[in-house]
Amino acid sequence: MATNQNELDKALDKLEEAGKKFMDSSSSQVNELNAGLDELEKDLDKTDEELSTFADEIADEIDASIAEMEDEYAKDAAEE
Amino acid sequence: MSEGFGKFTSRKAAEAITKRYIAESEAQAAKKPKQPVNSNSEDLGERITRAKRVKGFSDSSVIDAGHRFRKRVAQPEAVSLTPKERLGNNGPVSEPMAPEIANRPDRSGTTKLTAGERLGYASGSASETIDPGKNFKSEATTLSAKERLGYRGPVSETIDSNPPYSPRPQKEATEVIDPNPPYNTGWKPETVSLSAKERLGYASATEVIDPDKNFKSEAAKLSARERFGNAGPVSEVIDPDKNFKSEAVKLSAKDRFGYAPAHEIIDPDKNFKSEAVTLTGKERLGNTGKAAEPIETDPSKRPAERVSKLERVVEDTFGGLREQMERARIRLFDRGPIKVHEHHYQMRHQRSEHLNGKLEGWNDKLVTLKAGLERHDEAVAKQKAEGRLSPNLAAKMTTERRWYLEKIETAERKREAIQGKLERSNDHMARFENQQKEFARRVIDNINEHLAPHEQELGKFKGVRDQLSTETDAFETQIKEYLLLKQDKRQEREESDLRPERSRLKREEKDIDKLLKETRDNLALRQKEVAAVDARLIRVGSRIDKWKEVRNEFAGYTNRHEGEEYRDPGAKRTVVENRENRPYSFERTGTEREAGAPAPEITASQAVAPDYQGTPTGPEAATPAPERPRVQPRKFAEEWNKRYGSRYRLGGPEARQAFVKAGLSLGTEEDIGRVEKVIGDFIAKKLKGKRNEMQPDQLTRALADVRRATMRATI
Repeated sequence: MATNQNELDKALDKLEEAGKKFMDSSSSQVNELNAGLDELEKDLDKTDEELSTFADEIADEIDASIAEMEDEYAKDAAEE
Repeated sequence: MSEGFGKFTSRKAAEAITKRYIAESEAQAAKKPKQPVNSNSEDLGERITRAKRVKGFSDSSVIDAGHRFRKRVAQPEAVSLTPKERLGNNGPVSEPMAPEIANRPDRSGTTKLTAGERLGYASGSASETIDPGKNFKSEATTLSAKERLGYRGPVSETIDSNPPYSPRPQKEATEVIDPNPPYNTGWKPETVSLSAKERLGYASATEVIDPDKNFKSEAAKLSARERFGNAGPVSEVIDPDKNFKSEAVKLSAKDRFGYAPAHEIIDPDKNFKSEAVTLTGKERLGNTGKAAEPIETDPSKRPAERVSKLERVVEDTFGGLREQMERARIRLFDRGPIKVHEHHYQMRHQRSEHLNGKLEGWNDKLVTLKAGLERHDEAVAKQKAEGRLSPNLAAKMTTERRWYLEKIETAERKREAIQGKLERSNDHMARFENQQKEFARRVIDNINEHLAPHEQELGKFKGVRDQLSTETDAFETQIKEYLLLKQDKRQEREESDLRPERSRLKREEKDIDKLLKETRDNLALRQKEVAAVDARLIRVGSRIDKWKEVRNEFAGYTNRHEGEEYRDPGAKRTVVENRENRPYSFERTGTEREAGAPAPEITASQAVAPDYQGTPTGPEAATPAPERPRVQPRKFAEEWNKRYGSRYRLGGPEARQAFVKAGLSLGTEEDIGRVEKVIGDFIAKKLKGKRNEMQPDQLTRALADVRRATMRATI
């Protein structure tokens, strides 16, 4: 009976230890992920902003190119 | 009975005693031989003296019995007492009744007393007639504050509900105005003009009060002019139904404050507590008032536990919204300009096609003319050789040759002009295409540059997440083992016959259970956190993917003619016949080519002829055309109807049938070239031979115009 009880205690200790280990490990991983994601989201915000600014710039350039095309087109139409 | 009168605290008791002694005195007098007595002229002094003697009253406390008895006879039970007698002061005051008072006819039974008489502290003699018939409690006396309290503070006053005097007119709002006033007999329809200054203290005002009307039922609305004269700045509505409390008065800010252009309505119905007034922080708190505490919007500055909980809630609730916003932001990136650019590019492309067709037409014409000239020259040479060329015929032949030469020259000139235009158009197209490629390349590079580190980070996170999954799985397996252990224990317990053994096993089972529960709770908590991390990973991935989509879209522009010189893939499918019988031109799409849709007629010579750059243009040389914009046939038809509906209106079952026959659905987005072709064919067929028939080039231009308009509307 004593042996059984000891074995069980040991088994339960083992589970408890495994649980503790898992909780510690997973906690650090989750924290790492959350911290990393926080950082990444901030970076993405920045990226969104920068790319949007870039998009505006390039849209202006495209618009200029379109205006040039339209001018050419108008000239051609006038010639005909 | 030697009690003094002054010891009585009650007037009634004093009266009773007095009556009793009088009765005793009369009884004694009755025992004596009767003397003729005139009640009015009875020697009262004697009787009183007798009574005093009998009862032992002191002189100072004797009531003026003569006066009292006179009262009793003339006005039964009207007794005059001095203030001291009434209030019990034992002062050494003797108050003989003044003869004019004693003889005064008593009309109302009430006497006005001076303060000194009534309260006993002011000097001066006084006499008072008391009507015993009246209860003192019901006797109402109006005394001024000074009379009652001397020169001390204000007092509250009770007014008898049935006063013996006429009601005193009230000055305030409680005043009752007699509709037939006894005063002012020259009264006209009561018009009382009150200046605003009178009423309000500062501005002129005129008011009409009609006393014929009951004030309660009268709702008087007066214009500002009526009430205040010309310049009355006060606007007021008086509702007599309402008392002053319910009266709404509107005053301009200037009236009220003298300076501020504020706008406020004061409703007296409401008390100040219920009155809603908007005040600025400064007004409410003064200059030193504390400002409201700002809410911290930066999550990093908030307490960690609050952030995690709030963030979770916000993320769960607004996750979708944020995603939509991100999508909208990225949409702004914007495909719009590049699509417009592409549209113009396509227009340029079509122009090149058109010019190319023209060029080929002139080429054909030149070939024909040259062939004709050749035939002409051969015929002339033959005639000459046979000697049949008469001078007349020679002249005709010369004229004909000149005609050929002129025609060829004109055709050459025109051809060259078209060639020049085409080259310019192609140059432009090449330039715009290069620009487009450049734009696309820059966008792609920029996005790559920005996304690369994020993608790398995200990859790293996914690695950590995978590791976490592995560990979680391993731990769950371990837990399952313990569940099996628990089951074993239960089975063992159930099989055991020994009670102590069963108890022990049950205890062990409980221990396992307890630990398992704790462990599983912890695991569940962790899994919840991991799920939140997963959601964040997905969101971040989605944000990155949006930019990838933009990148891929722009890559389409770059890859379209990657590494190739510009060639007009559709040029050889353009048919240019003579002007009168030339069909409109259009470009077939890749879909059409794949579907094997019939192309417009192509002559054999055109099919094998080299293009303007000398590149073979057979079917094998054709490069896949870029994907054309898509549009709903309905929208195209609407745009057509807006512009050319008066000439030919698209619609009705026939048009629908044409679309269905071509495999197009009105509401589904289809390739714009295909839609244009179907509509063009339909209109060409319907208008053929009719008065409003469009020439093919007109129809081509019209369709191009509508296409551009539809594109603009779609973009």
